[in-house]
Amino acid sequence: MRPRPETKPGPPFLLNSVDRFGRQIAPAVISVSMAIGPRALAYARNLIGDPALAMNYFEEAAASVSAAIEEKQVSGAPAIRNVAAYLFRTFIRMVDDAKHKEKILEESLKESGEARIPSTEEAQVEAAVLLNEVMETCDRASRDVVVLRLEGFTWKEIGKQLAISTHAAEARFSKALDHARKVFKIRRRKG
Amino acid sequence: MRRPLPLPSASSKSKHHKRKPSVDKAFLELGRKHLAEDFPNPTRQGCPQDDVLRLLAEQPKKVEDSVLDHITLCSPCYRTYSGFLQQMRAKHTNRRSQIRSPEPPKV
Repeated sequence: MRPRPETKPGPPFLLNSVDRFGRQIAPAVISVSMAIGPRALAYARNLIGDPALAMNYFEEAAASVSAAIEEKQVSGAPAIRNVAAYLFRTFIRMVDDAKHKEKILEESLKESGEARIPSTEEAQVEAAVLLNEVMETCDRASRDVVVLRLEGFTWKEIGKQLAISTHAAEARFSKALDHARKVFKIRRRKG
Repeated sequence: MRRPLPLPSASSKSKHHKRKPSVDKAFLELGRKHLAEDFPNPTRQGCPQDDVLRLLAEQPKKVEDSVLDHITLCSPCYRTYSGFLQQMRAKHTNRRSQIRSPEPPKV
């Protein structure tokens, strides 16, 4: 097997026990945050550029996850299976939403007479938001189809690989994207 | 009994109907780029072994959900997985072309 490339250790990652709204972050979530924090922030830095803002969002995400865990415990709902992945996706959604809002604001500040041509960066953000939504909300089979399609597989190849029909593969893909678009629109409306 | 021929106007589907472009090609390209580049994981935290990624590429149903979750949040693993997928695809294509054009019999 190929040896993993060696990497330099980054600066120490420090997290507050409350977010900027004063909401507590549970100790269990803090320990998970310490583990995934550095790479989650690396993602946000690529997208929004500001590390301090990214950190704020990360703390907010951690506080939201803490609240969700507590709520599930109280209501007797099934517990979150993978807290790390749940936290990562919550954070990504917050960053994506922030980036999208920023884009909308930029667009509205532009001259009104100018024809609107979607920039590459904007398209990139939209694709990222939509894809993250698919990965967060869809079932396993649909996610498998989406990943294979991204890799350039034909519907026939996907069907063969996942032991489903060509039509089912195509239908799963469009359904997953439609669902993600709907969820995204609802979230945007809610703000 | 012979069935009557349909009137010309009765056939609503044209022979040359185009398939609707289901999703933008750009979305697929950007989506792939997003997974392959936007999730750096320099310390390779929580990464599965390459064997698991190979298995995910070859027999996805045999691998746990958490591995698929991981590759969509870790660009280095996604790139490795992508490599395995392309290898597998190339292998299948070669096999198919060999079946279609077998070697000519030796005289």
